[in-house]
Amino acid sequence: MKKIIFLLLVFLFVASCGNTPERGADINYKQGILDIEVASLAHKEEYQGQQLELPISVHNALAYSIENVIVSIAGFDNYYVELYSDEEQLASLEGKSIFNPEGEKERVQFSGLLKQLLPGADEEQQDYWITVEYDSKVEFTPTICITSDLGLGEYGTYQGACTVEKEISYHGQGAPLAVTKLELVPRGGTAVELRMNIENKGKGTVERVALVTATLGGKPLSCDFKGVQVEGSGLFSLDSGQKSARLICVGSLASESPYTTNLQVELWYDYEIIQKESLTILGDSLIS
Amino acid sequence: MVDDKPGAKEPKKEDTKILEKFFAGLKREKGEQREKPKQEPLFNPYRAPTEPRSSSPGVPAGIGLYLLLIVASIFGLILNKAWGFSPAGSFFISFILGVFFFIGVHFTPEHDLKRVLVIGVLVFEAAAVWSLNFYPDSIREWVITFHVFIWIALALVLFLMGVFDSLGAGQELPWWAWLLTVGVIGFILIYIVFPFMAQGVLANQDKSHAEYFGVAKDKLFSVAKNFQETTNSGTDFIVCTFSATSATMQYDTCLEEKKITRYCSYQIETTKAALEKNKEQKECEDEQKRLIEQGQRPGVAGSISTAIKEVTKVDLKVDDYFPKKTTDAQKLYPIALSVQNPRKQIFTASVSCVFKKSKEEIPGKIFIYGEERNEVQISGTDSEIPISCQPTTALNGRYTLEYSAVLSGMQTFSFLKRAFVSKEVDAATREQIETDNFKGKERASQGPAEFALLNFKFGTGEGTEPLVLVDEPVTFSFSVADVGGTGGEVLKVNSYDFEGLIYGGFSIDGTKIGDTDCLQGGEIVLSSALTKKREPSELKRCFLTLPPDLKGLTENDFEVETFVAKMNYDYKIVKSIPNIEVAPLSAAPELVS
Repeated sequence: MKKIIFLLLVFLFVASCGNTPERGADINYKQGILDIEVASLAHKEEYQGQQLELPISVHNALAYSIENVIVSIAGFDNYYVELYSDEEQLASLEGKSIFNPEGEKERVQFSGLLKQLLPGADEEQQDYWITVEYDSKVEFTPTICITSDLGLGEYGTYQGACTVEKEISYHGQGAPLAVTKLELVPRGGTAVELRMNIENKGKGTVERVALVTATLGGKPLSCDFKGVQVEGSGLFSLDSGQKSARLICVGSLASESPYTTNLQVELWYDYEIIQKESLTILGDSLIS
Repeated sequence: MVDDKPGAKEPKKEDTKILEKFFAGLKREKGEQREKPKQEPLFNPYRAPTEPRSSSPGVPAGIGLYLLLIVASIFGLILNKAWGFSPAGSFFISFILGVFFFIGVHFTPEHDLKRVLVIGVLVFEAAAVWSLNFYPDSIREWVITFHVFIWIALALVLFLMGVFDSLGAGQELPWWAWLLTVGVIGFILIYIVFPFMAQGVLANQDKSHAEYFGVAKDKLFSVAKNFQETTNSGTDFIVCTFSATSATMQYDTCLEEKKITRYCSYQIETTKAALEKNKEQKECEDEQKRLIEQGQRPGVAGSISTAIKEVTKVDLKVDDYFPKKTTDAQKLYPIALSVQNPRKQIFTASVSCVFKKSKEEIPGKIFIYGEERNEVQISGTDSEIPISCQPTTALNGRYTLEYSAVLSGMQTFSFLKRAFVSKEVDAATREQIETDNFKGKERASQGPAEFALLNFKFGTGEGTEPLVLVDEPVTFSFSVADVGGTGGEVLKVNSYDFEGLIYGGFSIDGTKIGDTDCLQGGEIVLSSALTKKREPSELKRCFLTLPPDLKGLTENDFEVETFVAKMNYDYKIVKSIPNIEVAPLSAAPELVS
């Protein structure tokens, strides 16, 4: 009996030492460059004189929820296609999380009518655009080793102090808008300057970006945007041709010596993505 | 020397020596003269011969040879033209000429370069003859031009090279060589360099080889295919200079008059309206003058849509059993009015016929379905209507039978796509709209390949741009193009209706100058001067007011729409059947064409 119990205990011990599946709470979705996915679920060919049903799928594959989602259709030739409504709205779509590892997906339906082709015509190809606009946020929360020492803490550091890196690159925070580089510029005393590159790495366009939070170790930072058209306090806009901006934040530290602390930057942005699709309207003489 | 006369003394040895010396001296002199190098005259290629010219050749045989090459190349051109420029015939003639040229230049100075030119021309001919269809329209006509005239051009080039060779060698040229040289250089200056070559003569579709000469001639002399493209020849400039100098006519007006005459005479010649030639010429010239007075209205271009597959076709067809030769002086000559009418249009065909022999014209009676009548209504999809023509008087001889059918009430449609944007639209959106919606032909109006094409345009500026700025004035204009091919003519518009624009909420802007009936109207009488052009002359023009939903577009909003227009018109088709021989048994045939 004792042997059996002993063997059971050993078995349990061994089993518990095996690979356990990662729990949702351990997965960090807020990394990499992620974007929403838009697809037309309609059939590519339809006959003239039929009702048009155009379902559009919007999948939020970001690590954040998206809000004020507007899906619109543009580009149909009004002679051939009459859409009853060219815009639909969604309140929000959840992003990837432990409760929804894939992110939320929603289907939006557009309806209309396919009119008659010109006499003698066999088919007509219509190219149209699906535009999805939304508001979302991105959080940049790295733990960094920081110092205000102009020598970057090379001298007079205590044993076990962290190593200050002057420049750190990042590969995204689970959104199309990303902080791609952080540069540490000590200013002596307790002052430090943090320079962050903010880039639009997604397929769509970012119009306006607002800085919501910027703290270092819980203390607020004073920030300015550079290289972009600043609209107001903490708000800038990116032209369609621009893809990046620079955020300069200045703060004070608890000590001159290097130490590890948490940087928190939260940006809100509005985003637009355009997907091109096509639909062929067939005449009655053609076989689809 | 022996003197046998009595008393003659024997020459002294000294005298002999003197004589020997004398003769030796004479020989030496002659030798010196012989050996003395001929003094070459100073080289002066511009010096005309001052000594009396001699018809006997003081010239290299090359000059005469070049003349022979010119004659041979002209002969080759005549032969080629008679042969209809068939590819095999053309190549055969080119080959013979090539051999002739090659042998000829072999006997001329510096023949290496000349041989290379001959070989080059032969290679070009070989390539051009067999690959003509692969060239785009813009290049094909130039290739045809070179193909037709290249041997003559080569002969003239070789002639000029020979002239320079001869002058360089310090040799005299006969008077005819000088005349020819001046003539060639003068021709190049007056007819090719001085008046700028007309551009953009639109190549006809399905050009047959036999039209090559016409194409080449037109290309070189800019004879009118299109009035706007008609140019003045070198002689016009000279004549008009004299007119201006003598104050009989202003220089510009004179040039314009010459252009009109040339354009109209070419139009009349190609339509072969022989009897009414003078009348049509006068009408054409009056029409062109009227247009000029109107400030030469711009044309409105359009194109045939390849998307419209089912089109209306009407044709007069002669079958293989048509009686080309008969002894019956009043025979019935059958023809079929072949109709393909997929849109089930309802229209009438009024048929007439006439027998022509020189200046004589004998009208014929028309029978349709065996009944004597000349009008038939067409409404079905496909039909072959049997028609016959019987001369009203007895025929005797060789005639050309000409059938005419006036199709009244034909209907056609055209369509034009436009995108409407505000001026705030960004460049990327604008570019995307153009790329997605306006590829090639879609920038202009299109219609089915039938007889008449209703061309129209509207938009910002002249209305040719596919993107219409809703904040700017919108112009509108239309024209009618005759696309029925040779032998036909669009006679008049019965009615037109730009219903797409009207139902779309567009209206005529009454605050601006323009035709009040430009979106909808009735009869417009047409002429070939208006319709048979690459960009037919506009018939109506006005400004439009946009509907409110389009006027309200802002930022990157846009709308795309196709607008359809309809037209009802009359068209005349003609079918000529030549060489109909009538040899009645009771009379000797007069086979006079």
